[in-house]
Parts: sequence; C-alpha cells; structure tokens
Amino acid sequence: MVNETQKVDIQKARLALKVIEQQKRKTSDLARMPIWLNLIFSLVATWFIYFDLIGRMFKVDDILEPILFLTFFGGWGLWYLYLKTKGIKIQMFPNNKVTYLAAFIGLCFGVFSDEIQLFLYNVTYPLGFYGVPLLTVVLLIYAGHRFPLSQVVSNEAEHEES
Amino acid sequence: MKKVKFDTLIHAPNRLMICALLEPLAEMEFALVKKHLAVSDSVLSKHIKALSDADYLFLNKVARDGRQHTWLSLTTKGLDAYNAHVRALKEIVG
Repeated sequence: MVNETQKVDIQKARLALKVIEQQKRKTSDLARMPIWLNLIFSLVATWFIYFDLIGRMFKVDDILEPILFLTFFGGWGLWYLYLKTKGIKIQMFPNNKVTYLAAFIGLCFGVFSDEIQLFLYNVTYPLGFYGVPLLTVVLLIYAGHRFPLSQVVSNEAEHEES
Repeated sequence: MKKVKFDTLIHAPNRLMICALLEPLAEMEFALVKKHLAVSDSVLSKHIKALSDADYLFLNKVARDGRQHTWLSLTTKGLDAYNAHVRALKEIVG
C-alpha cells in the first residue's frame, strides 16, 4: 500500500481530486432545483415549521397545516420521480454524518417546536417573530441551492465552465 | 482513526469518475453515466465489470417501456473503498 501511494505524485493526486470535484459538481447540478421551485419549497416548509407562530398573527385555519404537509411531501415525491426520469435516484434517508446531523437537528426542533414558537412569540417579538422564519427561508433556499445532495463542492469546481 | 487506503482499482480515471458520480446518489442510470463520461457502451461496461467484480458496484436491471434500463449504485464496500481512496489522495496532496 505504501509503495502504491508513493508511486502517485502530488500533481497526479491533485488532478484526481479535481476530477472528483468536477463529478460532484455534475451530480449537484443534476439534482439542483430551479430557484423558483426551491423558493416555493422553502416557503411551504417554513410555513409548516412555524405554523402556530404565523397562525397567531394571521389567524389562519388549522386545516392548512396538513395541506402544507401534504404539499411539501407530495411535491418532494414528484421531484423525486422527475429526477428518476432524468436518470438519477437521490438518497431518501440520511447516509452520512452531515445528513445524520441535519436529521437530528430537525428531530430536536420538532420535539421542542411548540416551546421555540412560544419563545419567539412571547419573548422576542417583534424581531424574532419575523426574523427567525425569514432567516429559516433564506437558509433553506441557500442550503437547497448550494448543497442539493448534502455534499460540499469546492468553489473552484462550482464556478468552472461545463 | 479512519483507515487511509490508496485503491488502484478505483484510481483509474474513468472508474474514479464513476465512483464520484455515484457516491452522493442512491442510483444513476447507465445511459447518464455514459453521457457524463463521454465514453462508449463497451468502455463503460468494461469499467463497470471491473468495479462490480470487486463488489464495489451493484447493477440493478429494470425493464421499462419494453427496454432494459441498468441502474448503478455503489455498494457499502465500494463506498468505503472510495472514501478511503479520497482520504489517501488528500493525504498525498497534504
């Protein structure tokens, strides 16, 4: 193993890593949602996440909550099927450290969702009330655009021409 | 501590590209892999055979619209080998 490693010089290893980054960019480009769809998904997800909080201000009907839930997951299912017709199947469940961490944070947020929304409403109004959901939308749009497959692509590869 | 292992089977340019394409995905269709690598069916098949013989790659053949479609995915062994290979490359680069 050591001998094999020594046979590959730094330049070749760097080139191989560059090739890997280029392929990562290609798969990310394939799986990336158009920005308008990303925006819709992010808005629906944020509305669902902060449903109670937003409902306190705008008095929306509770029936909207399952509709938002179905819209999000139904849309996600359609997106999955669309990508399948293009020739890729994306991972549906966490499969690496980043996605496990994201799932854990989401789970924790879900468990303490009511407390977080009450805190935003009672303690941080008006800054947190508007700011946190807005920040969530921005973060979701950014994460969806920058990391469509939960993998980091280097900036150099990201900006290279196809 | 993670194992760092340079893998000569994966290091061949086309096989490295196949692994890098498949790594973040559940599966990718043969035709799309071929398009991205810009190689012929026979060349891609040769590389796929080399990877699947080493249990790095799993081939899922599905009939759709009267045609056979082949979906490719990395096995757990293949994923581990690829990740270890990438770590080895990074170690060489420093």
